[in-house]
Amino acid sequence: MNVTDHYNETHSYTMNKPLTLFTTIILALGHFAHVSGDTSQRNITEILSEESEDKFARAVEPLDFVFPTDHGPHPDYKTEWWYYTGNLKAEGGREFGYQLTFFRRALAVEIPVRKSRLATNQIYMAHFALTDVKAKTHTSFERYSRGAGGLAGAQGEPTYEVWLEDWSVSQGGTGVFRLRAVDDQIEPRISIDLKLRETRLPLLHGLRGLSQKGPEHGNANHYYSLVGLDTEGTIISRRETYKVSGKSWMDHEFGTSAFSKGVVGWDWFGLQLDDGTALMFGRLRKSEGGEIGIFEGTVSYADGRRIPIQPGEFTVTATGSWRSPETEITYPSGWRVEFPSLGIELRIEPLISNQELYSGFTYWEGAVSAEGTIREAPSTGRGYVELTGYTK
Amino acid sequence: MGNLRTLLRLAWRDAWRRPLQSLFFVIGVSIGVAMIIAIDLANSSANRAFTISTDAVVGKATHQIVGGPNGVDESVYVQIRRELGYRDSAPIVEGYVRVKTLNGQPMRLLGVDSFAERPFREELGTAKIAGLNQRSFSAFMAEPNTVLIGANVSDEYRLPIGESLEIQVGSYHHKLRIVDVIASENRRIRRSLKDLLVTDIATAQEIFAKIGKLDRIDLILPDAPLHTTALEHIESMLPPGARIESSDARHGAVIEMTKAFRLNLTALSLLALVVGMFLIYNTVSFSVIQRRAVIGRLRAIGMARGEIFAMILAQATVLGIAGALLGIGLGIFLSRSAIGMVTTSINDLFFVSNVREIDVSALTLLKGGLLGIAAAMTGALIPAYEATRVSPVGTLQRSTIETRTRGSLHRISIAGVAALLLGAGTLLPDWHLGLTFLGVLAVLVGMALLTPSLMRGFAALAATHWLRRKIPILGNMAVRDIDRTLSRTSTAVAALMIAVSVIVGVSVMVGSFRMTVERWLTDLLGADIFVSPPAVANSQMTEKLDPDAVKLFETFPGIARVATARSVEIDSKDIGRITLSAITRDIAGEKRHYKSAVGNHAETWDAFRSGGLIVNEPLANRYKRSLGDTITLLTDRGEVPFTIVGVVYDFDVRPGAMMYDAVYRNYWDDPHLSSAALFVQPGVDVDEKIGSLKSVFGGNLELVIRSNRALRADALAVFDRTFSIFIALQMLAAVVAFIGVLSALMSLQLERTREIGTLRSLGITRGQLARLTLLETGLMGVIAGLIAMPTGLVLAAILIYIINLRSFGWTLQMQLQPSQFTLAFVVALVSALLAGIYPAWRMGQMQPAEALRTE
Repeated sequence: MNVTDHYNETHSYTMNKPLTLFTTIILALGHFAHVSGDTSQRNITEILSEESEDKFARAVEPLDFVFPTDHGPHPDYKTEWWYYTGNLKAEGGREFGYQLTFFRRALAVEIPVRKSRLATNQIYMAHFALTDVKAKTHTSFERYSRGAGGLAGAQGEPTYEVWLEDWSVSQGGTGVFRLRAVDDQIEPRISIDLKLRETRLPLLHGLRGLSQKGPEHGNANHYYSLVGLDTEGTIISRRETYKVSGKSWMDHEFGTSAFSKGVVGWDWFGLQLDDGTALMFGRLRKSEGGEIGIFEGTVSYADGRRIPIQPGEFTVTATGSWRSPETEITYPSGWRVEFPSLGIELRIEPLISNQELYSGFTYWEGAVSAEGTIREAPSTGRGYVELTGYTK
Repeated sequence: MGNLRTLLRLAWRDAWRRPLQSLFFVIGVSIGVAMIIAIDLANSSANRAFTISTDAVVGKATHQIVGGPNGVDESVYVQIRRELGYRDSAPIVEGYVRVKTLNGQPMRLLGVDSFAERPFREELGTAKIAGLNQRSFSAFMAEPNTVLIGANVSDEYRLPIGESLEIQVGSYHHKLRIVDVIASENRRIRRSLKDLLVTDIATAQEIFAKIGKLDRIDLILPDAPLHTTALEHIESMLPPGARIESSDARHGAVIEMTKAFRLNLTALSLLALVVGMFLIYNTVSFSVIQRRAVIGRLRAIGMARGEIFAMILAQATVLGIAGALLGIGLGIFLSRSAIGMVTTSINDLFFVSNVREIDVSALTLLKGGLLGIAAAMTGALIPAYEATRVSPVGTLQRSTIETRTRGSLHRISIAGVAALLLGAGTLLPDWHLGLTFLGVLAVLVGMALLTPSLMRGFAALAATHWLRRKIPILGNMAVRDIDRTLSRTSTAVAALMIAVSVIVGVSVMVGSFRMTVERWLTDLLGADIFVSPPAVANSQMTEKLDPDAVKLFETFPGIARVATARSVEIDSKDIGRITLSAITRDIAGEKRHYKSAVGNHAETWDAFRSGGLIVNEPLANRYKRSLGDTITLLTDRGEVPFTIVGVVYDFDVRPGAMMYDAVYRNYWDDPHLSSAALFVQPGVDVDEKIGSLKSVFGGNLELVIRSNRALRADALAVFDRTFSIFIALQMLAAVVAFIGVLSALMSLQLERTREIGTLRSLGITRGQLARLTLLETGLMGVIAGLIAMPTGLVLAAILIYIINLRSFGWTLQMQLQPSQFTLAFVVALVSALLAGIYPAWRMGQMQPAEALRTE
C-alpha cells in the first residue's frame, strides 16, 4: 500500500544539485538543504561571507512589537517566515495535523525605482502539508512566487495578511485568522479552511523576542509565537471533507541571521499540552555530532507565566529512528525530553513516521504526540517537530 | 543479364558520342530540379524557423489568454492565480527588438515570470535560472534592464556575463546588461535561444512600455474530463476583450497567413520544372530521332522492341539521375539566396522572421530529384515508344516520322484545344488555389500542343508574303526545311515559346502590379510628411509614436494639419486576425477611390465617423464581405459588430480595415498612436520642413520622418524586393529556355551534315549556307516569339485576374508595355540565332566530300 501520497507540485530541483536560491533561506532559517550524493556540501562560511556585503537590517536588540502591524512583513530583513502548524480532530475522532508556512526572502537590500508593479526583490515560498493519521498519509506541496503584483505578499495594516496565490492567512477580526490552502481548486484532494482564534498573548522568545541563532553579534532573529490558537473549520483529505477542531501554533520569525560555522541543521519542538502548557525548544546540530549550546527555548504556562529556557536546562534524547524510503535519509523518530528544573518529563512520538517534505529541499516536519508528567502530574498533548539537515 | 549490359553499353556509348547533347540534357534536368529544391528548401526553412521560434516561445502551452491591442491586464493573471489557484499559467510580455550590438538583427525579447515557467519552458524556470547563480538571479529579478541570453549567442558574439546589449524598441534605445547565460542540452531549444532575449516580466513591461499589461497568459489546460471545467472557471473571470485561444489555432493562423505566398512560390518552381520537362523531352526525342538509323539496324539484326525501348529509357534515366544529382547540389546552393529573398519578403509582408539556417531535408531533396528523373523518363517515353513502334525498315527512313507527324497534326492540335479548355474549366470556377496552378499548366501545355499547327501556318504565311519575295531560294528552302522537320522543330519552338511566354506573363503581371501600386500610392499619400517610429521590420507597424512628438507637430510652424493613425492587430470573431487602423482623417482625401461605398465621398466619411468600418480589398475578396455586411471585432468592451461602409483598394497581403479614431478609442482602452501624417501650409517647402523637424528630434528620440515621395519610394522598394524572387525565377526559366532551344536547334542543324554535303556539292556557298542556317533558326525564333506573346498575355491575365485575386485579393489593372513584348521577342530571336551560329560555322568548315561520307 502506498503509505504516503506525495503530490509534489514543484519537484523542480534535482536531489543531487545544490539549491542556491533557497538554500540561503534555509540556512538563515536554521534549516539545511539536503544534498544527497554530494559530499562537498556547500561551505556555510562561504555563504555567510557572500551575505556580509549585504546591508540588510540585523536583529541586534529587542523590538517593541505592535500587533497586528508586526504580524506583517519586515522587508528590511533578509528572511522572514510565518509558520502555522496545528493538531486537529474530526468529529468522529479522526486526527489530522497540518502545516502552512510562508517564507519571504529579499534578494537584495533595496530595489531600484521601477515602473512595473511586478518588479520586486521579494520572493515568497510556501509549504502546505496535511497529515491524515488514520490513513497514515502525509501530503505536501510547495510553491514559489514573486512578492509583487498581489501574487504573494504580506501586510500588517490595516489587518494582517500573508498569502501566496490562493494559500493565505488573513485576519478576520481582533485575534481571529482564517487559513486557507488547497492543492487544486478545480479538483481538490487536500485542503484546509480554518478559523484560528487567539486565546493567549503573543509568546516572545529569547530576550523579549530577540532569539539568538549564533554567538555572533546580530546573528539573531526576532521571534515570537502565538500558542493556544483555538482552531475550527473544515479540511479535505483524500477528497473527503471533515469538520475539525483543535489547537494551532504560529511562529513568526525574521532576521538576517545565518548558521554559525559547523552547524548542519536543527531539531525544533513545539508542544501544546492539555493543561495549557506550551513548550518550544530545540537544538542546533554540528556536522561532527553534538550541538552548539545556543538554542533558547520557552515554556509558557496556562496562567500566562513565561519561562525562558537556556541550553543545558533540558535534554533531548532520541529513542528511535526512521529511514525514509524516498530519500533514504535516516531521521530520529521519538524522543525523551527532560526539563529537570521544571519537573517536566515527556515522551514524544510521531503520529505517523513518514512526515517528510522533499520538495525544494528535504526536511521532516510532522505532528507528534507527547505524554509524560509535569511535576509528577500526568500530562498529554500534541505538537509539531521539525528536523532539518539530516543526510543518508 | 548480358543483354542488359549490352543495352546499357549502347546507351552509354551513345551518350558519350554526343557529349554536348548529353550535357544539355543533364543541365535541363538539373536546373528544373534545382529550382524546385531551392524554393522548397527556402519555404520549408522559413516555416521551420518560424515553428522553432514559436515552439520555444509557446512552450508547452495548450491555450493562451489574449486581449486587445494592449494585451491583457496583469490583474487577470493575478486573479487566475490568487482566486482560482490555477497554476498552469504563465504571464508573457514580448516583442521584437533590434539588437544594435548584434549588427541590428531583430530578436524576440521574451519577458517571463521565472516562477511560473517550469511547466511551460523548463529552461526559463527558477530551477534553471535561480540555480545559475544567486547574484545573477537577484539582478535578473530586481534590477531593471537585465537580460539572459543563450550561451551560444554569448559565445558566438563574445558577449560574456556583465557585457551590455544595446537594443532599440521603436523610437527608444535601451542598454541591457547580460546577467547570465542559458544553456540547454536540447538542440532545438539551443537553436531557438539564438533569436531570444529573456528578461523578467517586469523588465519586459518597462522596455515595451506595457506597464500593468501582459501580451498573453499561457495556459496548460487539462484533458477531459476536467478540460471544460477548467476552461469555464478561467473564462468566467476574464474581462471583456480577453479570451482563451488554443495555441495550435494561433500558430496555425500565422502559418496560414503566408500560405498564398508560399503556394505562389512553389507554383513558380513547378513551372520551372515544366519548362525543364519540355527541354528534356526535346533533347531525348532528338537523340532518338538521330538514332533512328541505328535503331533500325539494331532492329534488323534482331534486337527486340522491348530492348530498344529499355535502352532509350535507361539512357534517359541515367542522364536524368546525373541531372537530378547535379540539380540537388545546385538547388542547395541556390536555396541560400532564395531563403534570403523569402525571409525578406516575409519580414516585409507578414511578420518578423529570423531564418539563419537552411534546413536541408532529405525528403525535399528526394522529392526534387525524383521529380527530375520522372520528368526525364516521361520526356523519353514518347520518343522511345515511337522509335520502337515503326518497322525496322521504317526507322531507316527519315521521312516516315515526318509524314506521320504531319498526319497526326490535327490530332495534336485537337489535344491542344482540349488542354486549353481543361485549363479554362479549371481556372474559371473559384476552386482551390492549387487547382488554379494546374489550370495554368494546362493552358501552357495546350499552347505548346498548338505550336506545330501554328508554326506551319506562320511558316506558310512568311513564305508566301515575305521570304519568297525577299530571299527567293534560301527563304523557300528555310521554310520548307522547317516544315519538313516539323517533328523536331516544333518541340524546340514550343519549348522556346513556353519559356518566353513565362517571361512575358510574369513581367506583364509584375509591371501591371507595380504600376497599379504606384498609382494607388500616389492617390493615397495625400499628406506631405509622414512620421513613424522605426520598426523592426516593414510588417511591424504597431510600434508606438511618442505622444509628445505628436503634440509638437500640431503646433509646429508651417504645419497646417496633423492626421494620426493607430495600427493594431485585432482579432475578429469570424475572419481571424486583421490589421486595424484607427485614423483621424483620410490622408487620401478626395482622391480616395472606393471600390464600393455607401455613398459619395462625404457620405461615406460620415458613415465612417459614426462607427462604420472601411475594409480593404484583400479582406473583402478573401472573406467574401461586401457593403452592409458586419464584422464582429473583439473589443475591450466585448464582441462588437461593425458594419462595412466602404471597400478600398489596398495591396497589403493581410486583411485590414480602417476605423474612425474616436470610435476606436471608445471600444478599446488604447491611448497610443502609431504614425502621423502632416500637411504643410501652402507655400511651405516640404524638404526644408522635414529638415527642421529632424533637427528638433535629432538624437534623443528616433523617428522616421519622410516626404510622401520618399515614403512612396520606400513602399515601392518593398514591392520590388518582394518580387525579386519572382524575377529570379523568371530569369532561370529564361536560362532553361535558352539552353533548350540551343540544344534543340544545334542538334537539328548538326544532323543535316549529309544534306549540307549535297547542297555544297550542288554549289551553295559557305556564306549562303550560314545564312540558310541562321534564317531557319531565326525564323523559328520569330515564330516562337510570336506565339509566346498571346500565350504570355493569357498567362499574365491568369496571374492578374485569377491567381493574385484569389491568393491575395488584389485587383490589379493590367498594364501592357511594348518593351515587355519587345524584350521577349528579342530573347526568342536572339537565343534562336545564337543557337544557329555554331552549326553555321561548323557546317561551313566541312568539306562537301567529308560531309557526304558521314556513315
